[in-house]
Amino acid sequence: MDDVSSVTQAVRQLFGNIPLHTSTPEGWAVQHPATYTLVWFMAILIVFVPLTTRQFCR
Amino acid sequence: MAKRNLINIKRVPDLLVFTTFQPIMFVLLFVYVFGGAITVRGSDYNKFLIAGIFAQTVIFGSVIIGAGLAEDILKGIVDRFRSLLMSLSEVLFGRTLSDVVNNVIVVIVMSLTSLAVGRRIHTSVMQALGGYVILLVFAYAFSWVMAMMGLLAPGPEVVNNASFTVIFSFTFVANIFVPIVTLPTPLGTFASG
Repeated sequence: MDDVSSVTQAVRQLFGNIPLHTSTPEGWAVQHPATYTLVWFMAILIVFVPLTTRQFCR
Repeated sequence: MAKRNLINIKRVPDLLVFTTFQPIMFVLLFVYVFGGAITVRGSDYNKFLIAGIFAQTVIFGSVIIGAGLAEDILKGIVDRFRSLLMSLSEVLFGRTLSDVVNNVIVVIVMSLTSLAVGRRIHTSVMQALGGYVILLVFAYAFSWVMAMMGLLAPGPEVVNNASFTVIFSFTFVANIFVPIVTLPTPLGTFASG
């Protein structure tokens, strides 16, 4: 739900900053953070680009 | 249109100063204020924290777009664009694009600051670049959300207040500052998705 978590998790993984011995959080989003972020990115753009543009042009 | 906003950065250099100082401040504040008091099991807190600060800072930066749009509307600049028969969607794409440029600067500054406080990236160059792309991509999507808030709000001040209410809930009920496992169940569910 909160994409901030998956972004943070993705960056942590990709920078190699995941602490050792920490339990992996549950939830698909945090376990596949990069994929989830990209899906979220597409979804937000698909919804908000037309919506925001329409609102702005009114 | 993106150029107009970037020129604005050149004309109002204070904006660039704060754009660069804010991420430095965030990294230093959290590392030195929280870093001493909080421990995350199995790691030092700073190592845990840095990625979160990166995410938080690019989110905070996106408030500017909403306030900027609200101000453009209030000042009648949008009406002027309209009378020039400019495509208004260009205004939005320009704004969001200049946000990306802004975020690139912010991310570079934060990386240098983290380096200065002794944080290193422990993976390959490609992976690190992947991390940066994820951050920028995420911030780009967030810019569009904040742009919508800017259009719906009656004025720039309202945008600020409304955005920060949303942003604070999203950044604090997440794994930026604390591991999700430490959150109470409902918040943990929200945070982990």
